[in-house]
Amino acid sequence: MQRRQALRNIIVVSAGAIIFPHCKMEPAPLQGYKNLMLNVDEFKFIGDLANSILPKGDLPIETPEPVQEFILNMVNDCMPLEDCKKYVAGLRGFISLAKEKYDSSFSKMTKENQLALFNSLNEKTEETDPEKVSIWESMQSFTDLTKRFTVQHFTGSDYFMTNHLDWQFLPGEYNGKVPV
Amino acid sequence: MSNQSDHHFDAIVIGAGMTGGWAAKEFCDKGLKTLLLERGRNVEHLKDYPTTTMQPWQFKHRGKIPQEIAEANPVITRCYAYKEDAMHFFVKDTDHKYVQEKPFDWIRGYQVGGKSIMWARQVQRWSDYDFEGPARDGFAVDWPIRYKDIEKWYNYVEKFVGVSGNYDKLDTLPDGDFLKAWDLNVVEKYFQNSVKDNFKNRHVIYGRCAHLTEMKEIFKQQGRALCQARRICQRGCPYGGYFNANSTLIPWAQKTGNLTMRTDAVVHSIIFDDKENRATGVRIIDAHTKETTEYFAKTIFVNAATLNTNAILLNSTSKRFPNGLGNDNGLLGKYVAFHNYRAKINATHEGHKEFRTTGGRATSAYIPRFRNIYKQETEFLRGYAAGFSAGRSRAVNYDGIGEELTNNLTAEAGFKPWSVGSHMMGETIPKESNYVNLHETQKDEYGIPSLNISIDYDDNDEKMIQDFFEQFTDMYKKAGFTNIQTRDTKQAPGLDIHEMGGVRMGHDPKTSLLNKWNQMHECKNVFVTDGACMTSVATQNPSLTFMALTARAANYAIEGMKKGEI
Ligand SMILES: Cc1cc2nc3c(=O)[nH]c(=O)nc-3n(C[C@H](O)[C@H](O)[C@H](O)COP(=O)(O)OP(=O)(O)OC[C@H]3O[C@@H](n4cnc5c(N)ncnc54)[C@H](O)[C@@H]3O)c2cc1C
Repeated sequence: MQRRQALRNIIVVSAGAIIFPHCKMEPAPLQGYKNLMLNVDEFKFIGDLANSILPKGDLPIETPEPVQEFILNMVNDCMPLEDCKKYVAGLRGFISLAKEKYDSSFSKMTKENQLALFNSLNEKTEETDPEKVSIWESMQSFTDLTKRFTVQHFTGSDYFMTNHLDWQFLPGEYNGKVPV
Repeated sequence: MSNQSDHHFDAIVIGAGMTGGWAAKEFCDKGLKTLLLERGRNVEHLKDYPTTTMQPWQFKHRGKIPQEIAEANPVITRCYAYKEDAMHFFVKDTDHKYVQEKPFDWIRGYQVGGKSIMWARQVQRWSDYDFEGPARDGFAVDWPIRYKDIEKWYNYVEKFVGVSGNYDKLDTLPDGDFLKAWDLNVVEKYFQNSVKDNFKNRHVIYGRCAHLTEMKEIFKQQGRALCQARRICQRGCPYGGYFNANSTLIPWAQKTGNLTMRTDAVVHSIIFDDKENRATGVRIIDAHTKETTEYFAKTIFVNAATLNTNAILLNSTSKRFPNGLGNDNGLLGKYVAFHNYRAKINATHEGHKEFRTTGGRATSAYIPRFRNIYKQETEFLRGYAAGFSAGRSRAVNYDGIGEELTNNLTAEAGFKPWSVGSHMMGETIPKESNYVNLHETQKDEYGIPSLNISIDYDDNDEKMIQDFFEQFTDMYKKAGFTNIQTRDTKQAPGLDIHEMGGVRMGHDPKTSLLNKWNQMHECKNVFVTDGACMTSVATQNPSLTFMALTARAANYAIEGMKKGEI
């Protein structure tokens, strides 16, 4: 259901892109995340970023929704509007930072550079201009939240819970003293 | 709508929750034509538990309440059980507004089953140390009953409900009719022994809970199966593994053929006939059409849960009772009390590293009240019970980024040390200044005056919190626990979901509303058997006592009707 909704969003947006090919600078906002108003490139970017933060490799992880959809559900639906705005500002700042530093879109960067860019936000900024400091902080909160929800999507999956967290839907019994 | 005889019954029960379910079952079992009135929708066992088979990863927000709902409904969002999986069973702040003269988190469930769907299923009996409290310590009024009056009704209820427990042989917490207990884990047992060795009259026991751990004929007849320890009971259980009214009392009463259940029926008031000098029926408003209808019966049981029961009685005015039904003494709505749940303590246990637990269970450990039992020994009155649980989860390494993160997360990282915790369940003293009444101007969507709530902590509660911190810090230190953290949540009354009183029982019509049979002193065919009847609140989770009082009062009423006295 959620996946279908996301697909529909993308179709709506790409249809828009076909009708208005000149609007490439500002693709139409993605429906469904009304507090974020992302465009389809940004939506895709979140997925790319999440996969760089936490590559799933061959792990048989099946989830009801793709990771970018989960992240955006959590941000859009479960965070105060202020924080949603900050998230979007951080996201856009991050995309610009990639262009600025590596003259590339994030997805085309090498893995090393992607992670280096991500990690550079662990540092305090040297900027003093309050506006730039504020963008830097938005980017920090953007990367923190994206990592947090990426990890939650992964550790809350059927695969991870069953294989790494001893999850049982029907335990039936309890043993209070089991050797580790 | 229908012919008049459809509106006449032997008994009317207001509220299809845990206690109303009991009243209905007793009446129907004894052949009385019974009308059960419920303001909410029907929730049919199995059919209406939409989330019960969902896995955690299947929830869109993995359990979290969306921000928009949380912001519009701050009160209900503070309830620990109000999560994405069971939010449809709770009343939102915006659904049925009330006035908070003082902050009060009123947690409600308006549907067939009431709050019994979402409750935490902890059940303990009272002892005479509880019933004797007001008389001994000089507060409220003396309870008109003692343990011997209710003992057989505790048995009666427990047999039907199914209660898992150990026979602890404690005078402070009488044993019941128990099904087998799950394990206390190795650290809980260690703490149990540490407390036994270091303190007199303090006991760490297994927390008795309303779960089927053994099959018996009576549970088969209800169509229930054994508890699978899923611990997502608040969604409703497809096994009927825990007790709620929907899987037990309601279908049981329906099977007799004597039950008429009317849902979406908001009770406005009880009709008092000045000429006949008795209550003759109940006035309801249809939740959807807003149409008013009246139903009539010989006996009326009010089981709308504590505060709504107060509201209905306050709104039941007549020439004879201008201030609310049975309210000659002006005490209706007063002396409301609750449980003080503000204090928590957590710590780490570095020992027993060689052990872990597996599987699940629906309860943990419990520490019955140990303060001021045999005599007054502290600066505050009464005391507190507490929960205790120990657990240990797998360590997960969240460090790094990229493949390093994937590898860290999936690497075997062993177990964290044990963490332990307790929460206080303190007895509060009923006071005239803790009250509810009807708001003078604000009305709800049915034109019924909104309930105004004015309930607060007092100095006795503050002292008790300090004592809990001191005593539990000491108990934890003696057990060698480290990293001990105490926390006063400062939460408002109500979040304990154990509000009681306002229509208290007592010997004397001048100082109480109900007699020892939960019967209104001034209106003998009306009974109040939910939490509103409670003269004092003790420390035990109260619902078992509400159920036992209800079964007892219902059978008294049945006898009375047979003899023509009611
Ligand atoms: C999360 C949670 C955990 C809990 N844990 C425990 C626990 O561990 N142990 C314990 O003992 N108790 C616990 N409780 C409390 C317990 O659920 C209640 O004490 C119990 O359900 C009370 O039964 P009742 O019949 O009085 O009220 P309810 O079960 O709430 O039923 C009252 C019914 O009356 C209906 N009603 C109200 N007003 C009207 C009206 N005007 N007209 C018609 N119908 C009306 C309501 O819709 C409702 O269905 C918990 C509660 C919650 C929510």
